[in-house]
Amino acid sequence: MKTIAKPIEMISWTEEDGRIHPVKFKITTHEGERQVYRVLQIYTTELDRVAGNKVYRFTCEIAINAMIKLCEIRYDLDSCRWVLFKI
Amino acid sequence: MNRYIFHIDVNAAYLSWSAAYRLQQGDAVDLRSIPSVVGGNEKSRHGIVLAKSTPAKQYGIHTGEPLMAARQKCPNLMVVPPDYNLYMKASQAMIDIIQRYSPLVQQFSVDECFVDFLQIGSDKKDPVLLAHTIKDAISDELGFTVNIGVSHNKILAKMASDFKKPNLVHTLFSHELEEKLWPLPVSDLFMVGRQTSKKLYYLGITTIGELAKADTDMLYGHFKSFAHLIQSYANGVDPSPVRKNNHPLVKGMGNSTTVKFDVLEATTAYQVLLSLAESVGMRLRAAGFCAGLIAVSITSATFGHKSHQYKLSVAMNSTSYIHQVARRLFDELWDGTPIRKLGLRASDLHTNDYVQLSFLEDYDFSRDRLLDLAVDRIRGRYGLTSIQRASFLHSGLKPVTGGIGVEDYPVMTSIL
Repeated sequence: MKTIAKPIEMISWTEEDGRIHPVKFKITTHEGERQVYRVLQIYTTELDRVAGNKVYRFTCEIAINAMIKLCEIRYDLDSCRWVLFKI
Repeated sequence: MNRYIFHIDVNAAYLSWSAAYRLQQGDAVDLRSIPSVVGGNEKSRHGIVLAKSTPAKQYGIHTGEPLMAARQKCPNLMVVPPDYNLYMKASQAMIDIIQRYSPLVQQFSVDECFVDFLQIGSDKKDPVLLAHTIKDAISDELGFTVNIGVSHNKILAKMASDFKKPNLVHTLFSHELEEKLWPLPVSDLFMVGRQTSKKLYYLGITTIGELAKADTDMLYGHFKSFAHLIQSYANGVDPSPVRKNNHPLVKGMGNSTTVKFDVLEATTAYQVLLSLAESVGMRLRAAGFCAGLIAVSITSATFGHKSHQYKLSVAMNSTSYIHQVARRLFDELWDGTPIRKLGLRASDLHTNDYVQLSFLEDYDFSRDRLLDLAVDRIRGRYGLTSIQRASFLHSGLKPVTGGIGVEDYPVMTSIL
């Protein structure tokens, strides 16, 4: 996986106990094209607290052109921003 | 029963925190591995080096020097702005980790704290091993490194954490004084600053060991009661306990500000003093104090410094009255030279349960008290800028100045 750290729009689902699950996201490519990807499966969810800044890291699977790819999506708890971190 | 005190100090705190945060956000370079500094805003004349990386240190860049000078030493220097909210978060996250090991943690400043470990009964752990566990937990979970000093009291723990950096644990117990502490230059000792070390050099005292063994009466003659303090520190004596609360001994409250431009007119200076009076007054009232002494200090554009103080006939905490006294002091002090920085300080603090009234004052404190109370409440609820004096409109000055702009930011203190 390569680090790209690109901000994305996300639809997520939160359980009663606060657990968050990314569902699908929209990303704007360099050419200005907007593409939507569905999160097929979440493998791991970790809370990263580097420098005291809380960020959820999700390792998950998405499909790009019918190819299954692994990626890392991050959610920054303080700024409420989603980022496609690695793919 | 065994008692150990740890002093935990973050290595190059501001820079490490900014570096770790940038990596978390996907930045490819680690600021700690390139010549980089955390620096203030040059446009508002706060352009000094606040923290530096190890590669920047090799270029001879010092903390506190102007960014301009630092850039001359290293042209490809990377400068990043400080993020005090991040630093608060990083500091709190570190304390949360430490509190897993001991409930008694004193936050001494934003990047350092004292921890008290009291071992009772047969469950005795090696303190050095424990220090390593804490140090590694911090670097694994939070992505920055710390130094830990281990000893029996606060002064020795603090001196030990400063020995060799980064990411190390040092011990300094009483039996190690001669070997580890005494050979160090006297300026390394806590509370011995530039002025004190200069005076000590004149007395032929260059190392901490020489200070420890110096004649107490001779030192007293030169430094008065301060001599006892530094000599007991040199001997590793410090009875102060690790406190939960870091503010038990407030002697005064002051704020100062470097103005964006040189102040040339008294009216502008009055405005700056008013914005300082706002923050000093608010702090006094929030802590439940009245002040009996007001002092004003001026730093000129050429870095000359002078100050002037006035003993009040009645102790008070009214913003308007503090400002009125500050103006009078300023008028007596100022000779017309351009001003870079203004400071305002209130001391001789009394609790405000009872307030002595005076026949000699014609000032109406009761109205002021109600006004200040209302303003404090509005600001407490809606923020500092929610209500301000009309005189600050379009003035280019902040209606309340002083501090770092982040509330409750723990700053440096000289009281252990």
